[in-house]
Amino acid sequence: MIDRLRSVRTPPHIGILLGLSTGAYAMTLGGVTLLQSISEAALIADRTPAVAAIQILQQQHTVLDQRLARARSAYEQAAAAYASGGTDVATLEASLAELASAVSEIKGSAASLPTSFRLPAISTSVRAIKAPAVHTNTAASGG
Amino acid sequence: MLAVRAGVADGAPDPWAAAGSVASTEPERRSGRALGSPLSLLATKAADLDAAWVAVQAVMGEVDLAMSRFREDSELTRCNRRSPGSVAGVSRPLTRALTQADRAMRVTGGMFDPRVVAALEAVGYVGAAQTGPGPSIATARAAPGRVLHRDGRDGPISLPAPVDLGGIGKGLALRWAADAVVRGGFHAVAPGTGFLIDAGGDIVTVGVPSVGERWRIGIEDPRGGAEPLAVLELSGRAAVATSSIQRLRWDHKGVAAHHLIDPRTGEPGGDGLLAVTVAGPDPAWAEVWSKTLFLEGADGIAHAARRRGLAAWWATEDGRIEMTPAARVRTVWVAGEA
Repeated sequence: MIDRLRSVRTPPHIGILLGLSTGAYAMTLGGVTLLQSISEAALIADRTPAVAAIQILQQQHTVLDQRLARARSAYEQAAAAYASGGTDVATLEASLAELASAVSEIKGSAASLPTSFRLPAISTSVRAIKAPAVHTNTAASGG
Repeated sequence: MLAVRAGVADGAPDPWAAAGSVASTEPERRSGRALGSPLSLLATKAADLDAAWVAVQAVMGEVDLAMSRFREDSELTRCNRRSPGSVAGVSRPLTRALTQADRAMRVTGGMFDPRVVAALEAVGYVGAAQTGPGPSIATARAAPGRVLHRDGRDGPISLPAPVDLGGIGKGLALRWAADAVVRGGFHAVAPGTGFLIDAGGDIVTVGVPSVGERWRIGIEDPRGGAEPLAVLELSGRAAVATSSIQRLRWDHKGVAAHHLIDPRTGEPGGDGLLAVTVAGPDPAWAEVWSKTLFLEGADGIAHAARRRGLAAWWATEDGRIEMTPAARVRTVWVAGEA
């Protein structure tokens, strides 16, 4: 039996074929791997500008955020000032109301005054001031 | 020889008006005629007043003989008749006057131009007869260049065109007469003393009339009013000149004409003005500027006078009297503002 088994030997061409197919597979696998790495490198190169742009966008977004924070702060200050001004306006309105009251009182007093009155007569005469005495006159030279 | 000082700056203390050892008195007057106009010397009473008057008359006579356009025997008439030819042996006063007129023409950009004889004669203001055809009005109007040409320092003088030195000649006569009086030793440089020379409305002053006083000059109303239009005060070495059409105005061929010729047009100029008065340190330049400003007319005179910083007063045809800021500080009275 053992001998019979020994007599059944794997033919050499089968071994060669198996070796060749294994080699071809390995080479195919290597080629596929190479192509895939080249493709990925190109993809990385294509995406680099987009990444840089995203980084710039992120920085600008940060700046914008800071500006918005400052604007918010200024707005809050302006709102506080406006609220304070509102108090002043209220004070001014109160003063105007007092003034209106005083004016209406004056109107009442003025109504009791006479509409016209005579001034005392003054007799006088107005003379134009004459030119001062001069040493000589300048006039047409004739030249 | 006594020195003559320049005019006193505005606002500065005036040593001439300061009280001094000389007694204050009313000025004395000497009167006569020269250069076709009334001439008077007004001066503090002094023993040498007559000598001063003789000196003034001598200078005026010399100038008249040298520069009159109306005398047949004057040097200027001789030069004008030879124009554009050259004349040798021209006197020192006429040479100085021609040189001064040439400079005035350049300084005023040609607005003061004594070469307008042809234009003057064309409107009827005729002087001594000229021989030969003389230049046309167009020549007098357009001629560029100089009043005179001279070969070397002492060579013969030639006038490219006949000239009229009437106004500037009178101003120079006043300048030289004042110099002569001071040179003669008149005590005008002492505090509280001085003199004034008036040649037909052009005036030069030296010193003051009396202690604490200044010379008061009235600007005559060119419309003939009895009162002056304004009164100004001067002291020290100062001058006033007026260019006016009050006396030299006539009808020429039915058109109103006068003797102040605009060299740009060759015709009487100064639209809208009756008279222009200018005050300054020198009578010749006061005369030059009064004539130059007159030719600017009512529309341009204010700008021209202020641009030059001149003390100028002007009377317009519509009866107004106007003045520059520099004139205002010298004015003590104005008609209509009293």
